[in-house]
Amino acid sequence: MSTPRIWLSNKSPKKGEIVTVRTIVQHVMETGFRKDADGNTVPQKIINRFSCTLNGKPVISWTPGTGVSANPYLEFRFKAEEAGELKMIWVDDDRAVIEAVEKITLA
Amino acid sequence: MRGRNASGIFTASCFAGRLSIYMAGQGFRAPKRMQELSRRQTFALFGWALAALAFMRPSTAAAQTQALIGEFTAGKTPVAGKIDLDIPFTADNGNSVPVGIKVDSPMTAENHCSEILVVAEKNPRPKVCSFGFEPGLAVPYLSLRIRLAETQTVQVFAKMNDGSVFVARKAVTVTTGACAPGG
Repeated sequence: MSTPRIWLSNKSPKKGEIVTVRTIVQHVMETGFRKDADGNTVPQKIINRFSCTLNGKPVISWTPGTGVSANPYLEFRFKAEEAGELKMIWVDDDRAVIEAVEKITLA
Repeated sequence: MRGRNASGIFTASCFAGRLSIYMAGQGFRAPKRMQELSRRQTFALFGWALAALAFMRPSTAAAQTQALIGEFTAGKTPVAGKIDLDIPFTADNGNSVPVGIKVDSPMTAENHCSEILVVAEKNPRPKVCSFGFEPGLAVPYLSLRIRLAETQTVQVFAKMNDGSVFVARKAVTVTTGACAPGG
């Protein structure tokens, strides 16, 4: 699996500051409705779960469906109440996992 | 007129005669003909079933959307407001339509947005995606890209911790749908 691209508005925010996170991963997000050149249905393969935690505390959970574009892009925000590890996990239908960790320090 | 009638009778009698000769020649294999008839009937039945399916499809898609929204709202009537939904009026490419969602909520333990549901009723699967939040670190602000099969109204529902549901709707004109071949 590919490495996700992640951008943070501020890696060392003040306590309580709202930080914007932009993420994008490479994934086909195959809907299962498409047919290949031989007329066979291409089986569904999508990222069906995403979650972000800061030191294990939930920030956001996302359940993408077939209606989410290929190479899913997600921008979200969180309150930087503590320093630590911002962990993001993507899981697809084949149970392939993409993980990313960003260090957050408080200014 | 009379001649035509006579010829009609002639062909009919000819056919009957040939049929009897054929049946005699085949040692009375009527069942084969019966089978063929029943096969034809089966085809006709299939045709009817397909037509019925094609006729029912839109209503089942609508029912699917209704069930989806009903499950999310859990009996509450969605109220317009609290959601800032940002989608372009026209989308050139249905494969990637930018969507921005902001929910007005203090995100405290007593008052916070717990769930968001994105619905595109004319997509093959109306449920685009859903989000879950817990109070503390979460901020109900999102931006993502979705697929739209055709021109339609996108609905975003937000559920608060007290069970109340808010909704925002926006019509999007899609130039090239996400289901277009080669797309």
